[in-house]
Amino acid sequence: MSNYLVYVAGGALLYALGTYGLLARRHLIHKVISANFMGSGVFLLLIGLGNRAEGGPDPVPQAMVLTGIVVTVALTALGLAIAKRYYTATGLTNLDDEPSGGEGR
Amino acid sequence: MTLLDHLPALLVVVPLAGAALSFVAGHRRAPHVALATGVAIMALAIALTSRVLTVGPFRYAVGGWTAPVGIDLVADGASTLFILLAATVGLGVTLYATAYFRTDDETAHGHGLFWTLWLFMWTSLNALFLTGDVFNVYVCLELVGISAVALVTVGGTAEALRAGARYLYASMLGAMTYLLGVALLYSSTGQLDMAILADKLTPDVTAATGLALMVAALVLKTALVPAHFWLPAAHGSAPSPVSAALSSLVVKGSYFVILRLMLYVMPAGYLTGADVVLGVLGATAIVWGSVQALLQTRIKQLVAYSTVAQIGYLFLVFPLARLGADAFALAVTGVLVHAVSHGLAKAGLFLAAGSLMSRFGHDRIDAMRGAARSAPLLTFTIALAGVTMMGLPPSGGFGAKWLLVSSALSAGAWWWALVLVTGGLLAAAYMFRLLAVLLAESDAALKASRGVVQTEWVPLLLTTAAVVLVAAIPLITELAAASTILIAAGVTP
Repeated sequence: MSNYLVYVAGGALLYALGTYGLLARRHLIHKVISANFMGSGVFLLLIGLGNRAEGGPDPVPQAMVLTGIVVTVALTALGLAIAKRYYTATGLTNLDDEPSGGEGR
Repeated sequence: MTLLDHLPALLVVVPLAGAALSFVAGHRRAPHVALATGVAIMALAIALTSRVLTVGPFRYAVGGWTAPVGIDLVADGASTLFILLAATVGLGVTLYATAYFRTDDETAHGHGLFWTLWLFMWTSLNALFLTGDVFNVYVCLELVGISAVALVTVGGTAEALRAGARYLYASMLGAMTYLLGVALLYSSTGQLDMAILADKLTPDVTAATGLALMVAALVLKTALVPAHFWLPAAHGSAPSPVSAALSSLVVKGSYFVILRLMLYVMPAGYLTGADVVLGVLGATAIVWGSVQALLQTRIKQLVAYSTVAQIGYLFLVFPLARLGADAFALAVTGVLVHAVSHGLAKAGLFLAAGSLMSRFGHDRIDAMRGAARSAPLLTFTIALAGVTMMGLPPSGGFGAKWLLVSSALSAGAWWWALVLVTGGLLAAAYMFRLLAVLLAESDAALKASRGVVQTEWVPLLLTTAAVVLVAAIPLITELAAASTILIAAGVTP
């Protein structure tokens, strides 16, 4: 098994685990962490694939990973902020129980 | 280089500067900043249109770094058309919001953030329509998604937070899956620029899997049935100006990328089954969304499910485009006309629904009996929006359906034409159900109307634009002919 395949297989596994968590977990913060798992999986895969080429690593996937991390941090912050506001408003930590109050406009 | 050469960059920089300025301007001056920015974007969009019509599609190397090292912006007919749509709807939403957010000061803090978030969303939409790079698409999509989710939750109610959270999770799932697709595509081809990919892409399993993942993620973000589960709650529980922008523009952003990937980047015959799958899902969306719209008891939910249905038409282009050269050009032009006419009509409809809700103080359709008497302008607006969504002549919706039906019939594929006609009838069903209630006799006295009344002409203008769009079809055809999709296929409408 070549070196880069370890990263690719690990990345795919993390992505799959994260997807399962995002869909199956009910706690809001668990969902945000699962999405981070998915992101880490993709980043690992990108780095692995970038190291496949002969003659040193390819810088483009590394630039993509850096950008991706920034985007994921922003998504995570927004997810946590919404979870906190939702908990303050309803006292709930998951979306499956109906919250009381709050007519839509 | 003149200033005109920098138009693509200006279309991103100007709204971005407006967003930053509106944040420091404070909540009193922010609406003025947003209005000035909106007018400037409209002027730039018109300048871009005339430039694309005279010189054809052109590329802009950001900072002088050309692809494949840099990230190019591509202004072609299709992207120009979507930027014009965003400018028109955006200006309408901004005008409407100046009154909408003034009338309600109980959650003034969140409302102050509306302007900045809304201009950030507009910036990222313009960038998304202009980008010619599949990784930059990921970044722009996330910027659109983050600002859209934040805008949904701006009201701060439990319902809005729930809808926003669901929207965010769908958005995250889509983002990571799209990026996984990009990773596979890059590992197979070593390229990210769409034009280079269109030129060099050779069928292999890795690239095909990557593209399939990217399209699947975009389908989720466009809310095509069965991935529409997040849309009705998010679009229905957001403040009305936000609902209008989301339903009219945001779903078109991810759709635009699918259009480019499927018909421009992928060589003909690549992922053949996907065309039919997307077409069948589109047909299902038309029927399922319309039936759901018919069953709704709350006005904004009805309008949101109508979006689910209307998105279906956008996906009929893929099977139609494979029916031959004539069908290809007709289908692409038709779907562009549909995207614009739906965008205008849906924005008008959501804003009109928002005004009705402000007048009544609730959103239950059954309790809006006789609204036509005290709100004739709004009822007329809703009727006009209905005309274009049913596809009755003369309207933009009629022009779109005419082109799509012609495309289907030119190759003898009558079953797609049947879907289009059925969709019109179903739209008539849910729109007439709403209009019947509004036009019914009733003595119910309405609550004293609030400041929103001042801007009730904005939705009327937008829906009127959707109807008179039929006269602009020659212009849209010209823009379609100047889009990379049709140029690459070597067909002219």
